Amino acid sequence: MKKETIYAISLGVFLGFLIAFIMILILRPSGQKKTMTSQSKTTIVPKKIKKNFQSLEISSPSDRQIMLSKKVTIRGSVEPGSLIIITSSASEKTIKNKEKNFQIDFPLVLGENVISIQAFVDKTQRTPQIKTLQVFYLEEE
Amino acid sequence: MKVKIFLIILAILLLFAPHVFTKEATNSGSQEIEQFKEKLASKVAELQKKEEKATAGLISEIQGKQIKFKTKENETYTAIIDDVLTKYYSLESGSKDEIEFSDLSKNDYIIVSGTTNDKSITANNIYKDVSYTSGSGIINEINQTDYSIKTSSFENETLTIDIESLTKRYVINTKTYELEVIGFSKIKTGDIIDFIYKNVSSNKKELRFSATKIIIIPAEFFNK
Repeated sequence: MKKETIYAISLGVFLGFLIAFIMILILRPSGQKKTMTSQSKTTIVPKKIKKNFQSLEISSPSDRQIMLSKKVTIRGSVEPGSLIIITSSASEKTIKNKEKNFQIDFPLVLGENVISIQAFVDKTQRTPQIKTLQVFYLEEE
Repeated sequence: MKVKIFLIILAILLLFAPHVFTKEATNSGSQEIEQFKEKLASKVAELQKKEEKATAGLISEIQGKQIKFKTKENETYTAIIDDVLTKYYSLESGSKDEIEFSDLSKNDYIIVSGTTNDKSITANNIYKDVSYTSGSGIINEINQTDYSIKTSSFENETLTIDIESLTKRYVINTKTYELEVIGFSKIKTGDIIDFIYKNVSSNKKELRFSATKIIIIPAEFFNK
């Protein structure tokens, strides 16, 4: 085989690898996005660490929701050890929450039920975290 | 010569291979996205069906086949009435009694269920109901003669709460965290009070209410 031929083939293979490498670099935006997502997630973590306590969150029911049974299961999360007071015109319940997540069955009356959920997370804080839900039990036909 | 041809083909293949593989990956990726979108859309539709919502407020105006009402958040909604489909009920007595459109009037508290489009609701059912409000604050003053409690609410308002003979009164036991019945004389300044009252006239801003229920969190709870 002539020297020129060997050079041409080597150059061709080298160019092939080079172009392939460049294309891999150019066509990997999804990979870059993943990196950005993981970066943004990392930035949330310090915020959580800085927080003194878990704020009161209610995952269900949602506000203004129509219920078709006489009771509702209230699910949420709060700082462990909080005193939770749930009141409405129909009923009242208290729980001392050991875990972060809580779940409590609460009775409803026909019509509008304004449910106040308060969490006293710390005995030094006299102002509670409050969430108010408007839930309807309507016996829809 | 055969080796030469083989190497040239190999070089060409190497040139195009990454492009082909990437395209295949992109195609399968977009298919996955489409499938995910479809799943998401069906899940949202399912949740919407499950989580039907209603809107409640005070009637501000009745005009033809439209009822304008204002929610507690001061948002004005319009309930659109259908002569055939819309049904009317009263829940004021604690049971569901069928009423007529003519039984509704200005300042009635109503719950409207139906298809909502922005601030307009095509009403399926309209329920006349009683409205309650809840609040809480720190007790500043107790009047033993007229059985009233002056409180600074957590929204920084000074409110007077009347305790009636029918008012349900509870206190939180600081050891067991259970609710117990409390006498008016045991309530102290510095305690925290949760209260619920029936709205009688929500048009004007009242600062004195007759409580239907109160819950006391004693000051000792916070000193331990």
